[in-house]
Amino acid sequence: MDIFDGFPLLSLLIFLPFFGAVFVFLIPQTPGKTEKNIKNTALFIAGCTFMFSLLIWGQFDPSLGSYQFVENKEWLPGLNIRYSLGIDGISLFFVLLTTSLIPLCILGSWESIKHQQKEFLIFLLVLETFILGAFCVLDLLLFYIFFEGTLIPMFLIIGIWGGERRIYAAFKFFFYTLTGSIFMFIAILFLYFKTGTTSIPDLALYPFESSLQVWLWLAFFASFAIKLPMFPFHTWLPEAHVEAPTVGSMILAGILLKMGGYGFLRISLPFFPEASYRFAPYVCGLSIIGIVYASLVALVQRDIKKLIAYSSIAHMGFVTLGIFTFQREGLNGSILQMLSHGVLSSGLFLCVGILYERVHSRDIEAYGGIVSFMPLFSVFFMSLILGAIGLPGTAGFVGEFLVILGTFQVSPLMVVGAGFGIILSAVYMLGLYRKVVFGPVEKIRFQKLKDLSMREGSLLFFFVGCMFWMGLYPNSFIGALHQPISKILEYYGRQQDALVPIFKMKNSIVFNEREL
Amino acid sequence: MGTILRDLLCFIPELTLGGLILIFLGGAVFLKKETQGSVLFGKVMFGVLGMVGILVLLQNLEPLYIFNRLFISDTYTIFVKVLVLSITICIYSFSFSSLKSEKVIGVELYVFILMALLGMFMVIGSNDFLSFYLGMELQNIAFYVLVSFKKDSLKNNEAAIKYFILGVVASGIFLFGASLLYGAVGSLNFQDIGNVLGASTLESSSGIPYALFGAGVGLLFIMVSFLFKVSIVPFHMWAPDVYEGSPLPIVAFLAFAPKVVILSVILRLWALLFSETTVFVASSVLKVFPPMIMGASLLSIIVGTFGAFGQSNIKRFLAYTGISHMGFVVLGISLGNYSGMHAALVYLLSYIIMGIGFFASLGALRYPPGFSRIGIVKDLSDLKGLSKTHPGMSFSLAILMISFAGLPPLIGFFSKLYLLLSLIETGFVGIAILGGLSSVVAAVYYLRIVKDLYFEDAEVSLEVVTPLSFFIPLFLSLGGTVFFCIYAEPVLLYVSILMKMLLGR
Amino acid sequence: MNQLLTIGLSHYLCVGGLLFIIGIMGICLNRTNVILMLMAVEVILLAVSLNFIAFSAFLFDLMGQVFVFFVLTVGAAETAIGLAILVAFFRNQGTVSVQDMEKLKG
Repeated sequence: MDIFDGFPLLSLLIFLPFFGAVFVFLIPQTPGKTEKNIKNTALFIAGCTFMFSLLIWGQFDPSLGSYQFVENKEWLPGLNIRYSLGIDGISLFFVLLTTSLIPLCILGSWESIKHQQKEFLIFLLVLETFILGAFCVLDLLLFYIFFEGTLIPMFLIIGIWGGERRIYAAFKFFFYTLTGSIFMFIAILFLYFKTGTTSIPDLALYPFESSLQVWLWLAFFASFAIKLPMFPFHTWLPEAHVEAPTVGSMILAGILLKMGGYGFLRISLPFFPEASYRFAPYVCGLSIIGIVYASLVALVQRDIKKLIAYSSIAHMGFVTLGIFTFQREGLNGSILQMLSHGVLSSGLFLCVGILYERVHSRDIEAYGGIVSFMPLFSVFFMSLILGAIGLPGTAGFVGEFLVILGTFQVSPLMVVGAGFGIILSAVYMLGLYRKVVFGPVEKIRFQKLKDLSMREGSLLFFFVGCMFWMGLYPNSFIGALHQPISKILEYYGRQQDALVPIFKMKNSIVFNEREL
Repeated sequence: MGTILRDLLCFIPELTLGGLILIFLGGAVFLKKETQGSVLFGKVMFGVLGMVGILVLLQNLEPLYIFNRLFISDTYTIFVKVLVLSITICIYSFSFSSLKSEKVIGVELYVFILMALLGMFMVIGSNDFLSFYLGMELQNIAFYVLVSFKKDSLKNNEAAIKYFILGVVASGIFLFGASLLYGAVGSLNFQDIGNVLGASTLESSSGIPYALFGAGVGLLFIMVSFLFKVSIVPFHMWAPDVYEGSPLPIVAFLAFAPKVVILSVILRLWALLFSETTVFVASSVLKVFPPMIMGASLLSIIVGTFGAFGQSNIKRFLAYTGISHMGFVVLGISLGNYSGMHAALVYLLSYIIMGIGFFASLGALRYPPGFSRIGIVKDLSDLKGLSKTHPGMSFSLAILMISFAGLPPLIGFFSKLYLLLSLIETGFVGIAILGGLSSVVAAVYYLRIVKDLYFEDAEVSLEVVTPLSFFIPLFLSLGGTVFFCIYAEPVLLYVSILMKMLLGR
Repeated sequence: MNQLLTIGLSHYLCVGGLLFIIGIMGICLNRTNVILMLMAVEVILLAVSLNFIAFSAFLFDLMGQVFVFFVLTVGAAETAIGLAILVAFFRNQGTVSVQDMEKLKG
């Protein structure tokens, strides 16, 4: 920590991809060799960013309860809005998730993006800047700027390189999110007017009146619930996923959705404890409905990407469920669920992309018997599918288990719904695997299928490795999450008794914090 | 004698402009070939405009009343003059070559641009409705001629007639209002009007019956004529037609300079009438105005936003979006307090910065030779697929569109931020939400252009002309649009100083 | 009775107001000829001049009369420009009827 004191590590991390994008922009485009140069440059920059984030992880001190690597500078004169950055345990892992996924995305797009590669890489790097910014800022207005800033590059990525109905999907994605965000924007301005600051740590300490909390909470909820997405606001997600290019889906599912959950953890819960508490039953109910509904819909999908998209909605249901139990296990679980889903779903989308490049179809019926031609692929695909189901030992298990543990302390009834969702996920995921990988080889053209190339194999290996690491050794994450979660739970301490209903089991299995 | 000399010194930029107009007119007589003269004059213009700019910047910053309080010269007037002059230089620099392609060229053009500039300077510096009227009319007459410059085109003739008739009616309404105000107050000086109306001592100061009522009606008429000029609903109907019928460079000139000028006068008057110190003691007649103006501005936000939806012609589209943006500016002004007026000026500046870039890039896009249409691009759908042939140009257009839509982190976002913040501060949360939602709706059609640029395939491969004179304004505008979020301090501070000065705080 | 017969300020104002309304109506309701519009504009300027002179006399202030001089000159200049535009239109279109202005719509 010492040698980096006063050094703007986070600013550098955030804007490194942006400068990289500018650099890529300046590379003159001539057909032939330059395309390779552009790709290598972009990959190099993304790799540097990743290394940089690892450095930050190394310097990060999990025992500290406060924000670290804080930067605080004058920004908008006349308004008390400052350029302030800082990370705690929660943001650290989202930053790591982002920085690790982007190089993988660039590698994943190596062959699949056929035209306007330069623009694609520029948008990708700019997108990385915005996402990293959203996870690192400690100022609400800056958060809004970065949060909204992600829309444009994503809109362009879906719209330019997407499928047939890409324009519709891009617009739907854009306007769903924008409409939600406008309410958040007004709420931020209102907060500023009310308190005279937009600093997130300061606002977390500000006691809002309960009637005001309700409205402000709803305004923020509108934005985050759409972003996450929660059950009634989810309709943009399947469209966007289906039409987006593989890499677009990977980023969308892997990182962008997490900004909603991050928003709940960073803003809704600490700022408006009373309102969060008041709305928690409804949110949990919606989550359960979302889990079951999305799983049922996933069961009948014929489109592989749509199926994975609906499974994402179900997984995100676990996230909101965990957050709004206000239990340590629930919060831990939902963060881990987000991280694991970030790895798993982007891995699955990459698998779908690999299949699509070979077969040019997303229809489940068009596949069958892949295993005979692509054994290596089938192994990786299987591991990721098992992770998505939540098999013990994989990343998916830890998150779901902790969420259910947290939920159990609040209401066992809800656990039944969530468990039902897990069973359904096994049904549709294994069904997908059976139909795609096993079965008779009916299509002659499959015989020409090549197994994974070196690039694809190492990419998938990385995903599977991450997944097992998270599943087998979750403590490497939970340790750093301890302090920030304690801080969030402080606001709920006095309501804890009221919160946990009579069902509470006195000696329930609780992950002992000291052990973890 | 001393004061006259001092007044003349303060008036040097205007005097220089007037002299140059005469020289240009005289020079035109002695030139042999018209084309040769126009090219020569076109180049001289840059020097002329630059020189006037330097003269303006050399002015004294202290507030001074000139010519028996007919004119005023202070930081604010110098700021607005520099602003208008830079708009003129930017637009002139890219219109110089595109006017040739529209077959609108002639020595008179430069004379009328200078005349309009002189008129605008007079309006900006005016401290009395008499000098205001004279400057206004000088500017108007120049614009009538500029709009009708393409005299072979029927569309252009029609646009010119519409602009002329509505402009004349607006000045008629203004004059009638001014006459009533004169009768009620006994003077047309801005300070006198502000003092008399703001202090609500009207009944005692002049013996005229119903003076207060007369002053109210007079002010109402004057406001109506102002709203005409800024094209606020319900007085907006001229804008789409006139924009469509006129050559693009003239439209660019028309869309910014006169509106800035009128808005600067509205700001000055508003500060005198409704500054926070006097708004609470404002007489009952004056109290009617802020809600009325606010209603009109809301209407124009809505009408402009929804009107732009169905437009295919670029200039009509620009007219409607201009109506909605002007609605936002006037909304800020109507709040009548420091934060509202500050936000309005910031919004206006950002609109100018983005708009100039948009006009410059449109002006550079031409139909290819052999295509059924000629000249500067006319329809929005012609922009389709531009990213494949001209990535740089379509990139800059996309940035400007995103900024127009008010998305972060570009300048359009910050102007909306300040405006909505001032609305919430003043207690109009509902209107803030309405403004926010309308900008979401507006984002639909701005992004539709981005969609055309990037997602569609080209129907016509446009050409991009590349003289430097196009790119300097475009780069300036793009720079302002993108880097405002990083280093906005000088602009914002300067605007806040100006507003505090206007409000006398 | 006597008061009613003495011509006072209000009488002038009434005439001015009436003229103004006639002018505005002339522009709004006229669907046939653009020249008539120009004349209606002149009527408006007349109304304004009358108002200014009346107030000027009543207030013992010269400002109003000075203003009227300016209004007259500017009005003449404006009309000249208007007629010039109209001539250009007439050359292309062949009429000066308001109904014929239909090229710009949407």
